[in-house]
Amino acid sequence: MSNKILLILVGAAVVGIGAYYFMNNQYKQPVMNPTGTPTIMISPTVSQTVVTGTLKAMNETTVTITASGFEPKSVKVKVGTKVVWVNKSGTDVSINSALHPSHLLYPPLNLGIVHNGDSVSLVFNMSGSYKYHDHLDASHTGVVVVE
Amino acid sequence: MRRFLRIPKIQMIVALLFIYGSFLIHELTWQNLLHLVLSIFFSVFFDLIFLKIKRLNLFFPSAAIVTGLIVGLITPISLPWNEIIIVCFLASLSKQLLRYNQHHIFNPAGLGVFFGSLIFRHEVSWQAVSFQRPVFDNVFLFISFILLFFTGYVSQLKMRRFYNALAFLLVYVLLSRNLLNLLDPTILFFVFVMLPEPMTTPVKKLPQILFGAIVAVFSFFTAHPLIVQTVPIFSLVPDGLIFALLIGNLVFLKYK
Repeated sequence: MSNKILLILVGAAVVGIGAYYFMNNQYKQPVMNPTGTPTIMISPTVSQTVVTGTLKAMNETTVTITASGFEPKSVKVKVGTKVVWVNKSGTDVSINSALHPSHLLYPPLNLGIVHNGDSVSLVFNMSGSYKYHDHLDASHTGVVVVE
Repeated sequence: MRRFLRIPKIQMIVALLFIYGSFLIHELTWQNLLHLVLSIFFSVFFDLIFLKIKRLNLFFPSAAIVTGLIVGLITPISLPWNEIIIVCFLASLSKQLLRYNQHHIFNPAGLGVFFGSLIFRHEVSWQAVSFQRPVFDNVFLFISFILLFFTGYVSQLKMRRFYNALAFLLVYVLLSRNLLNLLDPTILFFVFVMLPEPMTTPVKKLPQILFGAIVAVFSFFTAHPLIVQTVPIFSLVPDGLIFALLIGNLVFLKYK
């Protein structure tokens, strides 16, 4: 019985992984390049169209990274706003999307290492709630709420 | 004393204390120290209380100390003392109530932290196991990173849980397509300390491999936007790694 169950589990895992890769090809979310130009790709099974465009940031909001975390911890912005993170913490930080440590929920927010004194930015063109954290001190979290 | 130090659980305690020690050097505050003390104290306290209630002989609570150390290492330092108490209570209670064939089913620290996070809506921060880095220009960070492997020595060699760690890492790296995850301190801590908990994980080779692989798959999918958007309840999961570990504990409860 135990071998059957194990075989079923292995089979389920293989099917699951295969389904994941298949579904991942069906699903695309807008990808932001570092300059904030959104690139929207539609699945090849639906259309071959790739739409690109440049959206000017309507507003800009700054989040300061201090030794105690992100300030403000939560920002509420309009669609098309550019959020700028300025590192004044005295050390390197690594801005990454939730959840720690997989950082998958919103990959454009995986902005990576920001050295002390540097800044990075991202334009948010879709409404939603985007949680992020400092990967090097995962208790420092923040959220960008886009309306 | 030498015989005492050769016990794997005691070695794990020492290794975890070294990791927390490096965290204290990294961020030396009384709050960080108090957080650890409270986590260990209440973990041991509730274990001893339950032993008394069950009228069992008291013994050195090494498992409770490990649980308390894990709670201290992965929960936010800002956690109020009452929430630490609840987390430790849940961890200890799960060992007493959720049992199968005289073994507890779930990783106690994992369950306590998971449900504590759900109840109080706080993150699982992995605070003390996220700052370490394999960088050569900072000796302290490098040594802190190396300290993580001491726990691996205990769990992989002494406790013989090599296969579940290997399977987890292979599958997780395959799914995430990111080799750097092999050097992520949080992943390494999870793989070396939480994943191979001997009372709740398989002993034999093939079940270990399947356990590690399935936990990796669940931890990856739980945090994937495709899954979170398709099944919104997954957005409530405070931590993918711990959630997947608990699922693995449940699925493999007959394979000890």
